[in-house]
Amino acid sequence: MSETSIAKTVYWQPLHDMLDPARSKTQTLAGFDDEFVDLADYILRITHRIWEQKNIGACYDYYADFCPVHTLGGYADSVDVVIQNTLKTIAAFPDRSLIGEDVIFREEANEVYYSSHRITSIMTNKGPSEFGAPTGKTGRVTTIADCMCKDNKIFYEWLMRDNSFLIAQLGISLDDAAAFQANFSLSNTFTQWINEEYSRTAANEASLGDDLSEQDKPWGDFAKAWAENLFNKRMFNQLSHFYKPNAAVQWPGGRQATGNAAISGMLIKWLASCPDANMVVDHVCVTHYDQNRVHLALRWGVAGHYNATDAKYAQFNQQPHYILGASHFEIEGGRIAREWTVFDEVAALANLMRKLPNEAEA
Amino acid sequence: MLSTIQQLLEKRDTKTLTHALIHSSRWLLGERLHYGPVQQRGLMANWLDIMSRSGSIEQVATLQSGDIDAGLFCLTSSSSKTYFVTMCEHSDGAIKQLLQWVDSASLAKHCADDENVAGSTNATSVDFWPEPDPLQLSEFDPQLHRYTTHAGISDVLNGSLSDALNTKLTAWWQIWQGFDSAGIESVYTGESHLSVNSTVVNGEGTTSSSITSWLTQLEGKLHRRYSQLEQVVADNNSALVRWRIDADIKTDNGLVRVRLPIVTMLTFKQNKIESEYWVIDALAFEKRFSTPLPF
Repeated sequence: MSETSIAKTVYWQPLHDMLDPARSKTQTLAGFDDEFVDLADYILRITHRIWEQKNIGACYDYYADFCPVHTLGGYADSVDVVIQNTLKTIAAFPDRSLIGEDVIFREEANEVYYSSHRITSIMTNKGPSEFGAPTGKTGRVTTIADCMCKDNKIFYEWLMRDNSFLIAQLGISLDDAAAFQANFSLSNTFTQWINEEYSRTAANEASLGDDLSEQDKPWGDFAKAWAENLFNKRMFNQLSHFYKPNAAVQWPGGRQATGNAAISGMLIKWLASCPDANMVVDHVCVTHYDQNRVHLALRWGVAGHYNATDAKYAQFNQQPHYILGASHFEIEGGRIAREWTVFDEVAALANLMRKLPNEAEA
Repeated sequence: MLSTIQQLLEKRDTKTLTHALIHSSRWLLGERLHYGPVQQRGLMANWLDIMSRSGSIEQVATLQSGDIDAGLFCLTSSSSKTYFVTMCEHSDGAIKQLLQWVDSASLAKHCADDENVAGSTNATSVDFWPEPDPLQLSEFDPQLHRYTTHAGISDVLNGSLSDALNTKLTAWWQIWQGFDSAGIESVYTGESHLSVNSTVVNGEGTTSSSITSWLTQLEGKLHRRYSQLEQVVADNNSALVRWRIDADIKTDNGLVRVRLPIVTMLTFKQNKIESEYWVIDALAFEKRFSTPLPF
């Protein structure tokens, strides 16, 4: 089965097929358990085992002992901490489901596989969480988890979650959630990471390698041009080069825009909160759904100085501001038909409250 | 795959629909996306509750194009009609998306009429109507500048339409997006049925200026209005148009930026619009913006 049909299979996959794939093995997956037929299968099934079957200890099987996990709100690098965090999240949201929407992946050098997994979760807040006291309310949230995998284990991860959309459903204000998180202690590793990421991103130094296949290189160029023309040069008249006239875009906190006029308004307002922002695309994955449809996954960073578009945040004006984000595009006929962009606005505000990044130390 | 919904509504068959839904199926109702078996079961229960209060259900129009099926249905009781549209994206017996838009104001009246027997008089809400998804709107330039791109019918059409109907639908969009009141005469005849939820705007018992009045009302009450096409699905007998209006409305608390999703089902006869039904979820609008629809 070709890569094209893997993307289509994931899109239409019923649960029973996800748990016991009928498709034949098409990727070598050297070093992985023989049961996995391709990387999408590996990611979907281990996620189901850990989160939905509550087999949290399976993290020992599927995470390397040392596995840096970066989020905008913290850092962990041991499998024990990954397990503790998973346990705490399930205690706070006992019915959390992880519904795999897409797995966009690519094989890289040295038998490393990179996966960008978009997940929709439905979760009821029954215990104390990273946002405060339990509310008893149910919410939906989109997460994009970018993982590097080798020898049956995830050994590096970037995790982006649309927490501002979630807390809006839980009845928690952005201010309260961010203030709650701003009290969490942070490791020196996190502080060093965000300072370095800020500095690198502001200097326009992407970590993007040039190892896309010849077939997929144009899509890497598309992703870089999207960032450069829309975010860095603010050429919104070029939106129609990138988006279909009825493109539907989901951004954090409930921003939903369809069509170039609304997308333009949404991007302009967001960029106004960081008017000297610079975006770099750090990674691109491509999968082919069919001859006309391509799925792209981008991991990116934005760095600049904060400028409140809401007067209540004016105290943070001119502070260094960094966003770790990810976007999934469904591209039809060469232009984006649907986009999901995910980053954590709660953590971003908490970082402003903590005065992170620190430009002097960056 | 509309049959799965009909089985649910007419035969109270939850099993067929449950079987068709896959792990990542999404179900839109009340401007909220629902996922997973718990939420799906809740929605099915709500529909069974609605059906238990209804006299009959009629399938008014359907269309099928590629992997999209859509239908316009009408729930009828002794005192009210409630239109709703169901659209599903499906493949090989599996439903990926099930999208529903309901004239919830009429549904509320319908449910209240039923409950009045038991003493309730609340005609403006439905207890189980979902809380809409959070929405953050941004301001944007609503002007149709010559060098900016605005979706037209041909840009978003999924399915086949004859050239004549494509032209007709393009003229239709020009009326509602571009405030082209002069185009009304060429698009509608006196016999064309046009209703907005349960209100008949054109057809039997209306005057020839009713459509113009409705268009004027939209333009007058939705300030800085911008209409955006989301999806057009068509065959040569009918078309389903999903569109939305972003606008400012005047409220007691000043101007409020709002979004109004609209689903329009059109049927054609001899290259003319035979009937046109707009479905707008008034309860979702009111829950989302804390203000009622302005018309």
